[in-house]
Amino acid sequence: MTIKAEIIGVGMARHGYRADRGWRDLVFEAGSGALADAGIERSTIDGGLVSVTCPEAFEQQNLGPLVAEELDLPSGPFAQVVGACAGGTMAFMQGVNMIRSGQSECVIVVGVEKMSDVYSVSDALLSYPDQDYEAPAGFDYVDTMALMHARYMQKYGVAPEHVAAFAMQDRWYASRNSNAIDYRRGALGIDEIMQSGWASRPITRAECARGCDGAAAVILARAGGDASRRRAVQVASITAATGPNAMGAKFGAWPGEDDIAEAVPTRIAAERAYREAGITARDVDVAQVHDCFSVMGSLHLEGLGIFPRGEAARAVASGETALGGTCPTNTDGGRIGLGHPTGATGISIICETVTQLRGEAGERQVADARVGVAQSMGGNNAVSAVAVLKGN
Amino acid sequence: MTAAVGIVDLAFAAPSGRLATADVEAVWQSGSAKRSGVRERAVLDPDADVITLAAEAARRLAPLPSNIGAIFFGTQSSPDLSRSAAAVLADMLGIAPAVFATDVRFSGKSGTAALAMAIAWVRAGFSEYALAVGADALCLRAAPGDPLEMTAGAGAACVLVGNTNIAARFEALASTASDAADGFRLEGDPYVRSGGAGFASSGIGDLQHMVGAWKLLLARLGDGADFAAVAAQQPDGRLTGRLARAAGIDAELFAGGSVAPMLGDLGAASPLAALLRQMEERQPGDRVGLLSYGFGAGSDALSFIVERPIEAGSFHQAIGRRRPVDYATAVRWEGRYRRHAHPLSVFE
Amino acid sequence: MSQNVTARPVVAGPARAWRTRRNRYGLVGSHCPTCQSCSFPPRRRCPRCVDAVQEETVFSGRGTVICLAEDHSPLVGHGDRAPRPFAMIRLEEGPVLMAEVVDAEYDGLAPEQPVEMVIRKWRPEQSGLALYGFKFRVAS
Repeated sequence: MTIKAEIIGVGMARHGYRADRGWRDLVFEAGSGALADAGIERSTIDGGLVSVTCPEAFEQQNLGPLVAEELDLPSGPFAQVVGACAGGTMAFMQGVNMIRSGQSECVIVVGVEKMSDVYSVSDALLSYPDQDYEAPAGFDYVDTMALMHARYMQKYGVAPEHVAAFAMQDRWYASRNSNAIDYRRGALGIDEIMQSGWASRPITRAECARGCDGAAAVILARAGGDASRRRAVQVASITAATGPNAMGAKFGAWPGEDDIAEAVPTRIAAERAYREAGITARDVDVAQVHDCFSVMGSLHLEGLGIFPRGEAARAVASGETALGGTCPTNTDGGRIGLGHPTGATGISIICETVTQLRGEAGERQVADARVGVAQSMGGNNAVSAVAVLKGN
Repeated sequence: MTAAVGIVDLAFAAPSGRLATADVEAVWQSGSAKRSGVRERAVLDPDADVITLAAEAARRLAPLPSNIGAIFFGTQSSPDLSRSAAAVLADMLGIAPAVFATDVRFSGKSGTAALAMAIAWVRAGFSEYALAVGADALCLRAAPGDPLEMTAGAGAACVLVGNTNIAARFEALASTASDAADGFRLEGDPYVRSGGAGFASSGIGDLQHMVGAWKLLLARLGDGADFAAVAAQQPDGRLTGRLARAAGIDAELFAGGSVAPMLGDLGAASPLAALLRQMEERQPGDRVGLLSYGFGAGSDALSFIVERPIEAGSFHQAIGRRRPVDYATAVRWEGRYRRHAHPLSVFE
Repeated sequence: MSQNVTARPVVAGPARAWRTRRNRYGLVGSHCPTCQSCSFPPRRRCPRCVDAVQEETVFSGRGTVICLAEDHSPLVGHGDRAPRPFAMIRLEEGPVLMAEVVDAEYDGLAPEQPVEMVIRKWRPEQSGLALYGFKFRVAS
């Protein structure tokens, strides 16, 4: 009998620039929330994982045992996982595997980032792009993805306003999410986005993720256990796929898809995740995708097969990812509106999917959501992790 | 009779940015753009230095022979106190590690000093080819408001010296040097200082040494040596005129080698850039003079007999690739303010 | 000067950059004797036909622009700059790389533009030494 994993609790620390909170405070906020949400005793947890991308910000490594101590959890296997901005979902995958293997009964997976302490988030994350020929030449993620943005528009004849619509949608959802950096901020129009100044042309400042402080946590348990877990959400599948990290290496890496305008690892991971979960892209009711910059949200929606290649940006602009659309996307506000504490992101997307599948998302609730997909990307499409979750 | 040695090829590079000298005068209200004879000067890009400029010039020496035995890198504005610019360049040109490489420094005459060494090297039979570089970024060494800030430019010239396929056969060399601090830069000080009016008005530094070297050269050449052109050091647009009067050289001989009015003081690259311009219009058999000056003070005078002209395409391209920049941009690019390690702009 | 500032405490000495100097200075890559394709950076195995024996090759430095962007948010050590254009560039031997385009304005560039390699300074090494590498400019 195969062991299956389910999510029995989620917790978030509010995202933003929180000068009065250290990384331990953020872990405590999210972790305690998840434990309370699960309604379990701390002693039930028998292992855990922590995702972080830039622990240099607080000059602390080996966060596994430190998180166990901070949350007052029993002694057990706790470790730190790194996978760039997909690290949270990679940690989640390892947590699921701890359950599936039978090693653990109940696992906590936490993601945390404390970015407001560093002078420059772009510089702090510079160990993730290619370190031999791209980062030292002065290119960070906004630059590599500006080229993806330019190439996407060039290849598919997409207008910049269509790409920018993702940021407008993110802001709409974020203003309705109390954990978001943009909570209760007014709507953002397409003109404001286009005129917000270049970050790296063609990406405008309003189209960028907001590197900030934050944390997220989920509690995983062996499925079919306690009958009281009526709010549990099933982990139908979780996969990841890799590709070249350096921008130049993407050309020629995959015959027919050898370009930077395609999220190929997302496509590979999604195909396997759907197969294992027994669904198709058409079955997805709600999606969370990695929109570290507006164009990336569209690339990943296409990688997930939710929209055909070259059509996602126009679909977003025409409202197909809004509430009531064919596939409401980034309902927590995404990296642009919720905020992007990079180590926490891969877990916050799980938290949002669970919240939607439970029907607890309030104003931003997707009607009758039963199948949710959560996707995160690390590096320049170097790794993409895709989880399919199903409500009970 | 020693075997022939001479210049095989010569190429030049300069940054594309140009600052009008009148703009500097307008800021500081000191010095005179008009009197300097320099209309505009080169502005160093923030991602360039004498090594990148030299590499750019050297890539225009085509094709670069694989058996270059030595690199003499003449500069007074190397980016590093210990890292050999010649060694870095050797690697950039793909001729490391089996090469003799050394940096050469004598202020503005560093380039002709490197050339003299390269000629001696090949003549001694140490290798068939040697590379001499004259490169400077004096704009980094000019204090805000100092008259030098108006004229100090940047550029690099590379000279391929060899004993075959010679374009300009080396004929004679004469030099002068003495302890005359008409310009100097102290340890730890980024900026060159002038030796003051005593030196500047009397010509004790520049004219005395240049005229001395030139007369020695003429004496070595013997009676009847006449020149088709002279390429001279140009710290500004005026020195060649003063030199013509003081040394009795026909001012017309300098005319074809003018570089300072468009690019400013190119330091070690200045006389070599002028030589490249002069070599373009020459006929076989022409005698060409090369006359440098470095404060501190010294001068090298060399003569060459032309065997074939050298195309100055690299010079014309450097002139043509011109992008005007304003004074504020030059201040930023050339790093004239001390700044925080983390500029505030990065975490808005 | 701000150009000499490193973003983080010194953790890596100059040996790290030394290893890649020939690739940065001269575009040294690899050539596959089996399928004749070229790679930059050099590969141990051919990514296309997986031949395990690759030959070293020096690329000409000539190429064309695939697509363009313009950096308005420079990193520490890259400040003091006007917005700088950069591009995906396909070398004439086939490999594609990402590089800055110097001495040019974004609006004056377009896909298919022929470009040639120059050497300029990159971000300083953590040791503070200048790190040099390839950039491109409009072909002469």
